[in-house]
Amino acid sequence: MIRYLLICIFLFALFSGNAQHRADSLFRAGDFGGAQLEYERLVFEGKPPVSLWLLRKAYSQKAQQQYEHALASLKRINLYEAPDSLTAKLFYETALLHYLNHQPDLALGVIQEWRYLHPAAFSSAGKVVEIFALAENQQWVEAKNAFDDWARSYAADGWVNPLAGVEKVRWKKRRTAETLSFLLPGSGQWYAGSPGRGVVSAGLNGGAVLFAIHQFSNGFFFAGAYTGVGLFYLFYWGGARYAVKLAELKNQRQQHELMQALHTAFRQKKE
Amino acid sequence: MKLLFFLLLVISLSGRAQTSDANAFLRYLMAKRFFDEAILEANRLTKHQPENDTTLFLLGLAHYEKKDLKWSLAAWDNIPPASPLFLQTQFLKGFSQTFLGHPNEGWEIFQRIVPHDSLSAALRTLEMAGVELLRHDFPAFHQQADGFGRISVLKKQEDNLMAYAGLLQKKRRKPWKAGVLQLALPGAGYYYAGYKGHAIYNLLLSTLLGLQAWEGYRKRGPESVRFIGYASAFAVLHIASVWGSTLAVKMRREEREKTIHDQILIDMHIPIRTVFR
Repeated sequence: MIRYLLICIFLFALFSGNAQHRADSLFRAGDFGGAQLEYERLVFEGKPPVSLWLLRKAYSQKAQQQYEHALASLKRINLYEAPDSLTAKLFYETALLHYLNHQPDLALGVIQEWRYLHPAAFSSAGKVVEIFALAENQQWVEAKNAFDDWARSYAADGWVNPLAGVEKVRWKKRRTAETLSFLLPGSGQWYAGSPGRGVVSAGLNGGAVLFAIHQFSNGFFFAGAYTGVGLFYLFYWGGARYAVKLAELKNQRQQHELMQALHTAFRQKKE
Repeated sequence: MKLLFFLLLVISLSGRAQTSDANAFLRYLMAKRFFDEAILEANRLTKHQPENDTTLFLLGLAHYEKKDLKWSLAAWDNIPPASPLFLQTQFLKGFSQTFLGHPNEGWEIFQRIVPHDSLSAALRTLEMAGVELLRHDFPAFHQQADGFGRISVLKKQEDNLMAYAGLLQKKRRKPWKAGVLQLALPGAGYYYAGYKGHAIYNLLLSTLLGLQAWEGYRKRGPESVRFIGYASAFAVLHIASVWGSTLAVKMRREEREKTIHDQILIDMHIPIRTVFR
């Protein structure tokens, strides 16, 4: 009797384990599309634990950079019913995928929920995602403080905060660039960090005004009004818009440099 | 003991027995709208059973949902006429060809359809009428439209097609007329083409250049650089705008026709989905 029972258990394990084995092998072989399909088959067949297959399906989708689809797979898991062993992984993956999907605010929301509901399960990896999400969300000072927290709680010595001094970074205000441009053409570009362009803008505006005055004084009223004033109008408004654009570009460059510093710090330590 | 062993074996393998219908998982994927996975699964199934018409149909449908209509057609081409899915496939194929910009091929497919009942006959008429409209063959459209009104479920789409036919047959604006109007009065050609804002802008710009040319002529004479410069700028702008106004009429016409054609395709598509839901 026991022998027959053992045979049955063996056969059951063989057949039910086969599909999982196939999915895992495909994943390991880098056939993420195939693995994704096989994990979904396990879900379809109702083989427990379904939440694990969905998590692994999300891994496969993440490997294919299908972040939105991966998030959709995770959303099918009931976080409150998933086994405790999976909770931290599910929160981490959801936060990471939101970050990768350029939704840092949602990533931060998930991290907050994770920390509130399962403080004991909150991990170093979750904190790292939080640092990156805060940085992506342009909450630079918070990102810097989060990095310090992380280094204190989880990291070994020798970490230098790549965001140190971030509060001294002078972010360019769009409104200021525009107002300055209106007050003195060219000064908005100068403020936005492009003094050369500021000089060119001032020259163009000044040239148009001088041309208009010259034409008026020689009795060419139409040419003065339409060519001179018309050109001044275009340079004046166009210059202000351009100053705003330059301020935005300058901020983007600074953000990129800070993000690069953050990435480099983690990459170098990893190596 | 052997009986017990057999029972336990049956229970242990019941998980696999659930999936004995080869297409069950494929249907599940389609229902969940996991079309990429459905394509993968269908391709895997067709390797083992290349003539399973349900698999081929669902493979085509997954591509169709992803708007990869060329692949849909390739899958549906293999469905045999004896299949119960053949009629639906033919409608979908005809529509796909039409959607891909091959209305003649679409028309051929619709024409070859042998309707099973009055509903499929009315649907075939509607689809063929839609193709005739897309081809701007209005007499042929009206010939098909004579068969409208037999099935109430198609009435809305039939009415829509009649309305589109009226719009497409409306007197169309002529590019040469826009050119002549623009030549006579700057901006008038654009106004005729339906671009009112551009018409005002063009009139204003031409007037400003014209006034400055006139000023140069009056004060410095016809040989002055000032007059020649402004007059040349005016002439270049005017000639370019005449040409531009003719293009504007063509663009406006194409935009309008494209909008109507898109609507026709939608009204051809909806009943296929409704009838074969």
